[in-house]
Amino acid sequence: MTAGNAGFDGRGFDVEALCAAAREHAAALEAPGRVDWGAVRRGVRRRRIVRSTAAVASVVAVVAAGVAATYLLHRPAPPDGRGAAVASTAPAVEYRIVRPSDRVYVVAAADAAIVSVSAVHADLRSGTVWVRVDPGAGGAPFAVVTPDASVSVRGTRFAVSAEAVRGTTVAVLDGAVHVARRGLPGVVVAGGMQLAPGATVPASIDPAWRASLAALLPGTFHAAGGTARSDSPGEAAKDDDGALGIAAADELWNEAEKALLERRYEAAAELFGRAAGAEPRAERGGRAMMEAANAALLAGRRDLAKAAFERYLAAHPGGQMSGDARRMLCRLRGDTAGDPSCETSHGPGPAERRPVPPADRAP
Amino acid sequence: MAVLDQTVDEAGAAAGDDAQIALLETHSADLYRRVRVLVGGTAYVEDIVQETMVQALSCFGRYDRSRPLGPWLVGIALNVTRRYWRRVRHARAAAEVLAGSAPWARPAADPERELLLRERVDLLYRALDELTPRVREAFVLREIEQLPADEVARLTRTSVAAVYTRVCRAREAIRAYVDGARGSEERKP
Repeated sequence: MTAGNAGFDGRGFDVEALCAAAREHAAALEAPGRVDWGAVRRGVRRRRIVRSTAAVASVVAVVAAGVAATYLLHRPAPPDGRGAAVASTAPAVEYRIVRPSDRVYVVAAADAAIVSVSAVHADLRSGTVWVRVDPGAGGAPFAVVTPDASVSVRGTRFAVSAEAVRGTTVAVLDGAVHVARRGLPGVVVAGGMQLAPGATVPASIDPAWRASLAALLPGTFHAAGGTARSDSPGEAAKDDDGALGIAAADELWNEAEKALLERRYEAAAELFGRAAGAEPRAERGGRAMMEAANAALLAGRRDLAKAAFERYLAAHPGGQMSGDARRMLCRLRGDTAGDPSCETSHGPGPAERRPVPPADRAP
Repeated sequence: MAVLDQTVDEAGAAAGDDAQIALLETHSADLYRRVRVLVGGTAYVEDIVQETMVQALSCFGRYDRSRPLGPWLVGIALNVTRRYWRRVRHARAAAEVLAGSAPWARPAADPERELLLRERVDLLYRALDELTPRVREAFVLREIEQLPADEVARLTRTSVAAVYTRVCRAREAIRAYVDGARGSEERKP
């Protein structure tokens, strides 16, 4: 802070002088930027998507809770009586969303015991997961591994439910999966079919499975399918992070901001980084990258900050904060001398600011 | 008639996003200026304006068409800005980790005067960063924007007396911060 040599030409540090300076400064700034109405429209659509997804999820939660409770209450108790104990404590149904890679969405029931998840597998000890694997070019197969089965897939929407007593149930909405189980022949389960524990031939999918799969893994947001509604060719790419990505990012943003508030900067950096990963091409994903960089700087992790700024520039070269990202990188590298991008004011300069396509401008 | 005082009916707005966007567009320059004053001209201004417009368009149905649109938009912008102040503070702090001084100066016709101005503004906004959102917004609207106290009260949904109290509290806090900053600067070898 250079307050001491600010001069204040005889007016001292009085609050009025500072306010006058703020007014003068605001008036002297460049003409206001244009609102990017295309981005506003996308933002409005995102809010509608999240709202409708939340509404659908809550309806499905109620239906699923009812189905689960009915099932648990009416299924025959095993000889040792464990079933009755389970029936009396039917859990409320909630979901966690995991997005281990750009092409894999995993929605897990809150009581699902997932040991580990990666871009190519989920290790499910018990409970139910709904999985959507978008068929990417050359994408590695994704497998859900339970104690008694391995369900592998290249691109589809399916659910796996593992129970200690009964075994693993697999339901497939579309695409096909291969199920390998100990002591049983491998079975291919196609879309619209399900495989019950111990069965060797798939049967038609139960309507409850179909409903939950369709609701929790909406097919209209396929990253590779190109079915997301868009107003312009550029918007499809920005929206393809999908509703589940948005929901996952919402959760991560909340956690990250909480960490920031508690001055747990390294944790905040990590959480913002994951939020960015959930929707890397969206504008909010870009903001998350910048937040991750700032939090990393505050944590003293210059290496992470540098990586986050570079990630932002790679994903959003003409983004609103690209000017700031470049300047911060300059300073991190210590090579400000002679680099004009290190000398300008906050925000992107006129040349750096993303042009607003005519179609997105207000009439 | 000032843009701030126009109502939707007066502007002849029709239903539909396009008509609403056209109407919101007429307020965007004013909104930009206000948000700049609220957060001190950082890169977050565009984000805040954008988010304000998203929220306005999303809940346009809740807007009371018999009243001016400007204050309604400013109210949304204030809500959005409250969430951003913490981020702005962190961004400023992160910039300081690297710079150790005031942020980058923009080339100007009178660089010395520009630098002086910017240092004062940086000092003020750093002091504002230390205030609670309610105190900060009352001070910015009343003392920097120079809005009448009753309008500040209406925008911030509080009483005129509370506005005066908050402004008074803000002035004391800013004075203390500035004195502290000057003291620590003078103690430097």
